[in-house]
Amino acid sequence: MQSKSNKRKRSVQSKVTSEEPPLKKATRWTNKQRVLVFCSRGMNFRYRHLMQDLKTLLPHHRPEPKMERSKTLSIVNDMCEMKNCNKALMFEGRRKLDLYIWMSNITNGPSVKFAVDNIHTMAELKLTGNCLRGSRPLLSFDPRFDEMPHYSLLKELLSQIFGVPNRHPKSQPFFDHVYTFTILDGRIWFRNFQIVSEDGALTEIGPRFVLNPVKIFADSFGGPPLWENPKYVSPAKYRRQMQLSAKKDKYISKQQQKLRAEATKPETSYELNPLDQVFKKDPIKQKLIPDNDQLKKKRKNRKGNKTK
Amino acid sequence: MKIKTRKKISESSDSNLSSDSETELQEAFAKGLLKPGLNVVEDAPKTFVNDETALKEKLLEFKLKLPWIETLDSLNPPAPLAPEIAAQILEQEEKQKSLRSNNKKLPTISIENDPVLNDFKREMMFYRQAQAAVLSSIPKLKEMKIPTKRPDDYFAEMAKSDKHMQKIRQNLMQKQVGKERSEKIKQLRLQRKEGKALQIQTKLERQQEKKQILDRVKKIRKGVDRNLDFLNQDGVKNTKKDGVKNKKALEKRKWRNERFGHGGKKRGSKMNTRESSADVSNYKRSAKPGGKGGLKGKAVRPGKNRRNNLKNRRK
Repeated sequence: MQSKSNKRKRSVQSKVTSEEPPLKKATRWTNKQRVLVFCSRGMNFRYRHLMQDLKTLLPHHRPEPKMERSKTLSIVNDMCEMKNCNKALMFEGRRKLDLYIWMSNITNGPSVKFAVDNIHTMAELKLTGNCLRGSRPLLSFDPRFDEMPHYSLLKELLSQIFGVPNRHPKSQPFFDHVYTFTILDGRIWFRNFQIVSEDGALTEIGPRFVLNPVKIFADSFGGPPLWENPKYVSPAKYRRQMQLSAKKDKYISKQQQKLRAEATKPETSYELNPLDQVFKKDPIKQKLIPDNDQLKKKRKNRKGNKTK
Repeated sequence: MKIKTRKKISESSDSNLSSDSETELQEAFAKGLLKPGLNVVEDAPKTFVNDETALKEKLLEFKLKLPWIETLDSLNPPAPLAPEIAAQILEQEEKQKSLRSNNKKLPTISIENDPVLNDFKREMMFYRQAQAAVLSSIPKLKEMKIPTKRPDDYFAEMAKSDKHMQKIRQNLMQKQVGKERSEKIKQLRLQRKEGKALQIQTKLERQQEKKQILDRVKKIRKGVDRNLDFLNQDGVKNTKKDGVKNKKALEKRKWRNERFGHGGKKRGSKMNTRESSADVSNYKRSAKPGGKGGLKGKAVRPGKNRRNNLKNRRK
């Protein structure tokens, strides 16, 4: 309260002393971004935690309760206007398995739908870094973001949403973390690093996730599509393909095994010398069925006995 | 949409244009376009929208025209590979190699396709990109005279709570302790192995010695050899050992000799003499039978038979 009154005094004084128009203060919050962060129903716990992490990292966010599935997406525009937000970050869970994120510039667009995978939240113990809550991140983009028009559009949108505005009342004054956005096989990989020392020693804070862009629309949550990802396969379809291919592979591998067995089957199971069997006789047979020689001997003996 | 032609034909036969479509089909068949069997209508290849001009227009429309300090964004390729990171990558590579060579059950994958190693390399790439951003942006901020580093006495709420950081620290400690312990155990195991090897060696040596002696004895018995020196050598060794060992026993012998005597005549030493028989100092009158004297106070316990009888009577 005191400081406020002081300020007032000072301003009054300046007005009295000089008649020039007051200089624009450098300490102004000009870049007024407000992001509405919320989710639809049917979210997984991990996705909810990710959303919580993003909320802690974005001091310029506004919360909003879960949206019903039955409502159409265009309602989000009204919600944002009600909350005085000009950006939206919407989490959409499907089947408690897949996560989609909508990012949108409210009123005039564009909006983007991403499929998200490889999520690691900030709570994981292997991510050992830490940063001030609400300090401004440095944003680092891959040079490939300038090569294609859709990537440069995505870059602008990402930097507007994830960059904390200068002089935002809830932000902290120092720079202790970096976000990296890297393009690898058509996806955008997000990482958050703590700046341990300014000569380039970093530790990871988290969260980690990978954004797979699906579609870019001209307007916010609607309008004609500007770009579509030709390589995108929906997670459900991908899972089904995997299942089918596993089945097919199983059948094919069985057939191949059979063929291979047939081809590599040896002609003789054991190498036997046929001469070995000519002279040796089976000892069991010999006992059971006495040979002709032995029989003759026996007969002779008998005859001899009789004659005696 | 996959439609069998038979179905199509049946549908078309219901409609008014049946004759037309049928004739069309007949013509197609005659030309050889249709073949007997199932005919499937295939999808047209899907076209993906990529409206570059509209994308550029949109970008211009919503792009912020603000100085860099408002956004803090930068495009940068990964920083050059620092030697310590290169060392880390090499270390990981060796670790994976040794893992694969030691465990035959793991699938054999070439080192370039190793998923674990590739993961590590990818993470390192992200790390280097972040490094490049730091190295380029922090000097810019310093030029603008904006404080970048948090002073040690500046406290504020952190993204991760103290409790969580404690957990992380504990986890790290646990990992380190586990590593140390496993190393210790490894060393112990090695020591034990060496000890065992030594034991076996000495045992074998002794056996060999014994065998040699026995062989020599055999030779002497047969009269081949007449040299008995080797026995003396061993004998000297043994007596020396015994002398050291039985110091206590010798002392004991000495004491016994003092007490019980050593040498001299033993016969008749336990016989009575005139003096011994006259000595009555050790004599005590025996207690009177019936327990009248000293046993009065004590409860008398009858014999076993009587006790049993008493028990039976009570029942």
